[in-house]
Amino acid sequence: MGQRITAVLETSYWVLAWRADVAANCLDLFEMIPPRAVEKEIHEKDPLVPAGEFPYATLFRHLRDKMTDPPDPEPKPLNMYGPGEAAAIALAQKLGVALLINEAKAMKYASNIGLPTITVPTTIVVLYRNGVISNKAAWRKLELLKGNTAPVIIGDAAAALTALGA
Amino acid sequence: MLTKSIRLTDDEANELEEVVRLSGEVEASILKRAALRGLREDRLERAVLLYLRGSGTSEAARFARVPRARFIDLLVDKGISVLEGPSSLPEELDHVARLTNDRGLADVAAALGGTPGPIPPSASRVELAPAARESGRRRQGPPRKKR
Repeated sequence: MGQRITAVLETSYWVLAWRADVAANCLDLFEMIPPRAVEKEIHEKDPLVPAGEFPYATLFRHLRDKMTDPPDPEPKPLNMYGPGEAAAIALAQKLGVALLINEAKAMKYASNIGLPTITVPTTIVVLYRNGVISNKAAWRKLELLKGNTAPVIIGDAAAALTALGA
Repeated sequence: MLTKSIRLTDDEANELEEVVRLSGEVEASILKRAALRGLREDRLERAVLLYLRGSGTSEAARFARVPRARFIDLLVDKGISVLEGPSSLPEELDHVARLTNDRGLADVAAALGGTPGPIPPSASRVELAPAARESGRRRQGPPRKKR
């Protein structure tokens, strides 16, 4: 395992990484920095069930101490998008590091201002490349993303896995 | 507190009566809970439509009055695409390759169409592209219908 990549975590990435069953594996690849607004979004409870905790929030709570705290104070969030996206883009820009994000709209903006972005399908390919997950696991996790990711992206991820020998 | 009244058909009233009888709860409590659940479902459906028409998850989640992370999770449950094309996967792989100095990954990124980074390419990468794409397509089966 090589050196980890420092990257700011955005809410959409965490939820989709959890859905694809790679959220915990990501810590092998990334030194994750969750902005406070992202942490708040992940932990936010349903007003109708205030006592309950969503499973993606439970996993985050258990792994939070393996992540890196954002600077205090954090940079001013953008004046666009929701609190999580606005804080994550501003922080990644300030630190000059990659942004872990999985929602097309804010991701496009981040790319346009020159921020390197990394999505969950790419993460699956890199996890396989680095030997963190087996080829069988890589295909299974990619399969979990099929229903919520554009076919062209799934196709590219499948092509990359194949090219890498999966 | 406001009081709202609704009109029910005989069948609807019979159904309500049955629920009251089986649950042992007060009729007003059952009606209130049903109305709130219905409102929530309605807001959620409209929020999904907002999202499909181009709003971000933050805006749609606010409309639905659910946490944004939960809203994204619900979109996944409903089989709605959260990550739309075009694909930036080759560029992302290229970026990771440069950060980790991984030539093999850079070759795959370039073969898929990513911008060649500062890592010198292997001679085989041009031949890699069509085979990788075709193989990936075969593995994934026919493309899904656009929602």
